[in-house]
Amino acid sequence: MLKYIVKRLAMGVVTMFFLITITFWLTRLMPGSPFATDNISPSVLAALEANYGLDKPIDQQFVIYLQSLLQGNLGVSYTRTGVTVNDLIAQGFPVTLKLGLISFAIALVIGTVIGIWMSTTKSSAVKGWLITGSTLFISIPGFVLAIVLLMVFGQGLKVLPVLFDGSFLSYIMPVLALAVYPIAQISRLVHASYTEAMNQDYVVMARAKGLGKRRIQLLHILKNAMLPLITVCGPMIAFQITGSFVVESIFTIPGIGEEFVNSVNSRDYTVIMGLTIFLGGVIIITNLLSDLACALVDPRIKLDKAS
Amino acid sequence: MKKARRWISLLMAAVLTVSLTACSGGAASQSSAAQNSAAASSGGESSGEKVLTLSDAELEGGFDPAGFALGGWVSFARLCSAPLLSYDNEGNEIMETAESYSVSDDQLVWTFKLREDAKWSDGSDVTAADFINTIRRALDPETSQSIYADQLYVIAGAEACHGGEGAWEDVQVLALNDKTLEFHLTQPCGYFLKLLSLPVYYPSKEGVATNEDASWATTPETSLCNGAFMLSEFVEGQYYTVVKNPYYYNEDEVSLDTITTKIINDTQAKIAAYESGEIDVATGLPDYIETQYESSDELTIWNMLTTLAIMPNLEVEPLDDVRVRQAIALALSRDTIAASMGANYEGSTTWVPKYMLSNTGEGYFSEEAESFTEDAELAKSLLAEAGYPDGAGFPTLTYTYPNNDKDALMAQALQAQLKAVLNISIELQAQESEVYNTTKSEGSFDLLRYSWTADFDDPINYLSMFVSTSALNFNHVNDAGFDAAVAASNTALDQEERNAYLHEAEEILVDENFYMIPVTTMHYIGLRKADITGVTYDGTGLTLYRYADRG
Repeated sequence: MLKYIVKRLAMGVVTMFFLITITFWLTRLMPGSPFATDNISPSVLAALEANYGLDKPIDQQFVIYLQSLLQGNLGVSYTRTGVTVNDLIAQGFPVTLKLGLISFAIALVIGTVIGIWMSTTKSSAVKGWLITGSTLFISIPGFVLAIVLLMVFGQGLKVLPVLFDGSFLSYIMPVLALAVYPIAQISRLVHASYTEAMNQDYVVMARAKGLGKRRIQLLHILKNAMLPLITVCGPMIAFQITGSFVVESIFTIPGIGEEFVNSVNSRDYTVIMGLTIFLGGVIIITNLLSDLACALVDPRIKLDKAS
Repeated sequence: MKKARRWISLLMAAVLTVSLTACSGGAASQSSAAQNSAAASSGGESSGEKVLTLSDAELEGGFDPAGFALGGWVSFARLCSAPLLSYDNEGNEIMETAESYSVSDDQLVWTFKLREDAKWSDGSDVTAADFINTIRRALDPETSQSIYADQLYVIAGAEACHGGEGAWEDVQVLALNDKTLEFHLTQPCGYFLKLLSLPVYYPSKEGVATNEDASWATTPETSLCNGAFMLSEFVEGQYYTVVKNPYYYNEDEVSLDTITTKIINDTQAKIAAYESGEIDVATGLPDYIETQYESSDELTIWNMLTTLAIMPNLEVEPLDDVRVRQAIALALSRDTIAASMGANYEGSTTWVPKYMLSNTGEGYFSEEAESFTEDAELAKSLLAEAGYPDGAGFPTLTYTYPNNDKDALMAQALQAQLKAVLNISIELQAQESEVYNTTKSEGSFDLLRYSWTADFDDPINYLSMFVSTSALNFNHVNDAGFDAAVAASNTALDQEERNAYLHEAEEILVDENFYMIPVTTMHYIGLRKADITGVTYDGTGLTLYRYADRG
């Protein structure tokens, strides 16, 4: 197991190196400059770029960047004076993480319950509604839902604050907007695997033994049905904490999602790089954790051999 | 099996713990923000304090006048900084940190006497050295981050210093004593006083404001202000709060105690926040707001000093032929184009914006409001004269524009009109804004959507860029007559005479040669709670809240 983890981490480092190299070159090859504005004179622009070392050859810039990266220094933002990328992440990530985890935890619970309900209900009408609902919500993008919520509860009914201020009430709309998609996704997944597990021989056996309904549902069906869910949990958590760009922008949440979008638009190279590296790391680690969780839950999965 | 169950429960417990600790951990750090917004949210007068909540899209750049000063600086400086002098929206001069000024007969030496009671927000005197501190840092060839450094080149020695060829000691901006500041110019500059509204001419406290560590500008303890308000809290990406500056020389006239500016990027969120009362002022709104709030006294509309134009590349055939450029200019129906872009656009046949004030106190174009008139028939015959009767044989030109809604609408309207009137085909090319900037500066276009918003309130700001030596002359205008008119306007000692030269320059640029083809100008739409009074505007149309009041 330990050997596997070390191996995966080593692979992660290699992946990161490629990620850094490719992103670095792509950002520099994009037309435009962090300092370009409508009214700036080309000579002043050149002087500004020179002060930040952007006039040096790209490979030289890359070496300089790697050197400072190895010291844990992600550099300063080009477009926002006096702000370091490390600060941006330290301030923005906790907010983004919190939103992502809360909405994911809610989605996990509600999605599982709905998924089981879909599989166990005997009413075809209920089942039909649930399936329609989950199909509908899986196809509505989060930002559309966010704007609808904003206009109904913020602008219309005025019961929830429009601007995010960290209070409990201000979490409700963004969490809802972020949770709906994974709820739909999880419920469909649980529905599929639960239905499959329901018809397995060991369940029939358990029923024949005369075990209680709850006991069969929880211990025999759900536990086996959860495995596919755990596999996708890692990528889903990663998606929840990296995919909230638009929702953050609509609710003016000071997370890193909005920073990411802004930095690409304004060609703030260091911020693009810093966030890419950071989020890349987050994704690599969550994927590793979810693989490990699978192996722990299902003894049939042998990590060492599988790799 | 038992082992597996234990792991599941552990995993679940871990997820729950993380989300719970995340909840409680965040709560403490966010509480001040929550209180703040509760206090700042509308109503204005909780606990007798007069509070105003503004909104702004992202704060671009920083708050340092010598630094990367963009929209963020404007947002901050209009509340917290006082220049030497400024202009209101009727062209009247307002003495601010300077109490008087004098200029030598040859208009080369400008001397400003600072107010004795001009103070920083820590109570120390605003001195000539503080103005020089900004200029020195903006011109520093190694560390300058100013995009306006070239606007200091009128000062003798400044250009050489910024280019690294001259020494700072040779830059002729001098502190004769603590309260006297003197500029020596390279040549007479009829618009020098207008330049004083640019960030690089604002003061920054010597010894505190440095280029080396930029964090001073957003840290309340070190961000010293000489304006009506001073910084009390800055939360990156979220909001900043300013409070009344007790050392402001005109402190008696300031009524508001606190102004919070919230950063809201999304337009829909901005409108929702305004309607729910979380902000008191919303700006830069879409044009349907104008209809929705038509009869409301909350609707505010003000003219922008902005022109949207077509820039023809003079080195591309057949655009090198003035008859072709003129045909394009005359073929357009600008009111139709503007209408398709929204109620806040208006057709314009002038490059210097219609609402620009002149330096003699009248509207610039009310003095002699002549420019070309749209004429489809004449356009057709001009095109035929140039060798393309009814568009026959005319090559397909590309029109490049930045990829956003409004410019796309303008591009489509242009394309349709040129086809209908001149029977010529234009290919549309939308580019992401930074790609567009590169295309523009490389000059790799046929027809380009070009937009300019005034940096300062003077026509020269729209004309000097087309002088043959200018680095901003992207379509390579090279006209001796134009250069001469602009040069003459710079050295004209009399403002009437100067205006005549500026009009002459615009005529050469637009009406005679169609080096630029103006299309529209625009106004800004905003919403402001009806109980806010005392709002003023500066010469570029910027809204000022320093003397605003509520109720």
